[in-house]
Amino acid sequence: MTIHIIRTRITSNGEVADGHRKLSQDHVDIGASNEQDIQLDWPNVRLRHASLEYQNNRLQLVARSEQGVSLNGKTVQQAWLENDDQFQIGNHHFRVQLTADGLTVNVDVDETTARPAYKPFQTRLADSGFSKRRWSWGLLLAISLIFLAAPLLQRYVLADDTDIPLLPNHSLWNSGEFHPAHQFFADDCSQCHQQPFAQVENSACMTCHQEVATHADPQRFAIDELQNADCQSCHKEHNGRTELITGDKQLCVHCHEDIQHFSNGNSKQANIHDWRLSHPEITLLTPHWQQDSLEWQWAQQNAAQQPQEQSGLIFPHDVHLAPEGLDGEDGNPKVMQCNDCHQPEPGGRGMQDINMEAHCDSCHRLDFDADNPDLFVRHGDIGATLRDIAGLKGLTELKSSLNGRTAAAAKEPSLQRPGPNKRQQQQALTLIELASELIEKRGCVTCHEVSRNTAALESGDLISAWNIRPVNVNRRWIDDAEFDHAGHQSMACTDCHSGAQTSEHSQDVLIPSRENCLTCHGNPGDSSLIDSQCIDCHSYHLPEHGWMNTTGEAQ
Amino acid sequence: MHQSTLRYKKARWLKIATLLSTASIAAYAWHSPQPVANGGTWLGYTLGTIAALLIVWLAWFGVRKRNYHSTSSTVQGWLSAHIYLGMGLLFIGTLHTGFQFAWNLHTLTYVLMCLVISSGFFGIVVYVRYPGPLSSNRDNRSQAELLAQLDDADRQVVSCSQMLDEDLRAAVDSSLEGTSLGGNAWRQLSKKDFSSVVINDKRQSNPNQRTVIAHFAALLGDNDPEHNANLRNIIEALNRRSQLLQRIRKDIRIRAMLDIWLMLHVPATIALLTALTAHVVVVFLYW
Repeated sequence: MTIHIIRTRITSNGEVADGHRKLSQDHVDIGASNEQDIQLDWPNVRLRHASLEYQNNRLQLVARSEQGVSLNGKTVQQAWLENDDQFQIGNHHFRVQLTADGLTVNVDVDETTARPAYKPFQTRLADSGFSKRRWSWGLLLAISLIFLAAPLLQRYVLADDTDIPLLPNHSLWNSGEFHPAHQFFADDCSQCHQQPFAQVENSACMTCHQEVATHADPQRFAIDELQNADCQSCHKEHNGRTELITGDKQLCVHCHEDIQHFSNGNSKQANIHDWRLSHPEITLLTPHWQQDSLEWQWAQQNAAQQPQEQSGLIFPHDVHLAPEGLDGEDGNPKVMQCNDCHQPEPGGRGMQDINMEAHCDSCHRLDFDADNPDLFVRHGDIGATLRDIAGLKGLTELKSSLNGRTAAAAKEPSLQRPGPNKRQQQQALTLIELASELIEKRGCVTCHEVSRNTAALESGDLISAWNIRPVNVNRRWIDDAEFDHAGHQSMACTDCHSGAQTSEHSQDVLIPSRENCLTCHGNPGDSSLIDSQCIDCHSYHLPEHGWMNTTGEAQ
Repeated sequence: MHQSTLRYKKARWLKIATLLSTASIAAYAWHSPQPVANGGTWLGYTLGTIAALLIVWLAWFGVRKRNYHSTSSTVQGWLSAHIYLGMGLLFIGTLHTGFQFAWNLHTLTYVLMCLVISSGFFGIVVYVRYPGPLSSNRDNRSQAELLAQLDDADRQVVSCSQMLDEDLRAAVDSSLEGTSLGGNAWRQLSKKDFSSVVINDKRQSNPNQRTVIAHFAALLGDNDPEHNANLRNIIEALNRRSQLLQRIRKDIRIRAMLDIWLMLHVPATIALLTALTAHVVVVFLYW
């Protein structure tokens, strides 16, 4: 049998179109499955809905689902078909035409009404206009343009300072806030990022930081890492207010744990790999007078024996810090505190110089005549002092002669031409007694090391007759490290300078030992201790060793 | 989603992802970055590289699941790894940032990563939770079949309305015309019924057809048995249609829930890959 199928449907353009197909078989399946001979697209249609079977020159319609098939308006499960019979499956209308010989069947399938009624409803997200593909492309293009193409255009095609309104610029690439010190050129990335795909070069830093001290003497330590280091390897930007200096001890320990090897034996330092376990005792720089010259000597802190110094000053801390106090100006006891003398300098890092006028004068009044309490010794000028005494005591001739630094000799008046008279000799003797009383017995000698220069005295040079050793109160005990008093304000002075209240001698060095530091400062990770890195005390760039080769060129 | 995907090979990928995440957290805790933690330290670069490779590999799942000829493990195995390594990526990517965020490309990349992961996590939840309700609601019918039933129900309602007066037929027609089903993404996801009906020239909301049904129910009386019978017929037809509408509406909502996360997941993944590429380029451009 030949079944001639004509399917009439409405195309996507809305036009009516016929499709012709011939099947030379006695059995035709109809349903929604793609294995069916006539495939129908309609919700109610089952995968295998019905079939046409040609038997004994007759055509039979057999329903394959419980729904049955509507034949000529009646639902049937099975029926023999006659010419012009019409049946419906879903919204597909079938009309059967049998040829006279009974060997050909024309099946007209009218699908023009087979348009699902539910089409007006949008029941899937994909129908609602939301397209994954469209959104994906849109976002891809938007991000590429805004965050890559436009900033690239501004940075490398247009001038860097060209500010085009609404055009995204390379500030979108800024990975983090600038350190305040660099904030003033934060809008101009090219200041630092001069070459694409290259780390920031030293030359960029050199624009401002033209001279950067090196770490060690290049003559003694020919180490490439020291002279040609990259600035950015230690100084990390884009971290906001965080310090620009990398504090990791490994930067130091990398060399210093085997400093002898790195320095080819040139370093005098001990190998060190951390603060708590291998750091040597603190070495102090202490002043010592040798004859009339001051020498600086290294002295290592040692628990068994404290280093001594010699500043020329006589100052017993125990007397000044006596709990019962000292005689005050108003007659009442004055209990002194450390900061009566030791006052922090601006910023609080170190201490201000101590001087007579600011710190000692209120107690140690330098008046020298009970009848003239408002007259004071001119501190630091022995000539002026002697002239003041001479003037006060009516030793007028002596006063004028002291201007020439030579007083009338008391012992050898014959040296003077035309020669002193007896009155002048008497005045000189009186002055020597008065000066000796002031300098050697109750005045200068209280705080200063005083010695008598007999030769000068005998030669009549009264100004040079007493040697008052200059005072050199040490301000910098540790040469290659820094201590910040401001960072230790929460502590009492005696927490570190514990010997201050008992020290009887000026020679006692009251700088705390490393052991004292260790009570608070530990290695990073030590529990209950402050994380302490090398650079908390030590600087890397040391100007005394010269300048780094910041151009990056080999030296 | 079948539970076995999450328990694939005794949750092998859960263990691997947990190990990877734990190792990353431990490394981050142990690391002492100088001066502060960020993506530029050695650990930052390491975590960033792992995260970038993971992102590319996870995105490759979209290709792999369409490659039916691939013999590289099963799609279920890939999906299991995709889920758990995606969750692990959240830890690795977050640690890579060093918790430094700003209005820039780099934070955008991180935000997109979080968006992709969170949308994927939402997808896991809906795929575990909704297939059961979806199936029971459909009662072995497809959505197309339900809609075809609605078409039949519409015809029945129209057929029943033929026996009514003209003004009542107009109300029925307007209830059919004003039936809201689906619509834009919000309406598909919403439980609210936006249907309306015009009664006495006044348009009113008609949630679950209650307004039009109540209107006909109020007209029931004892005077005219035939009229009452016609009214009961139309009320019954409208009720059947209302129940069907509720079922379809629930089906649409569940389908939308099952689809919506992917609507976000896929475009956000493409956006993430774009931002990631830009991020890597810029990091080394401004090294």
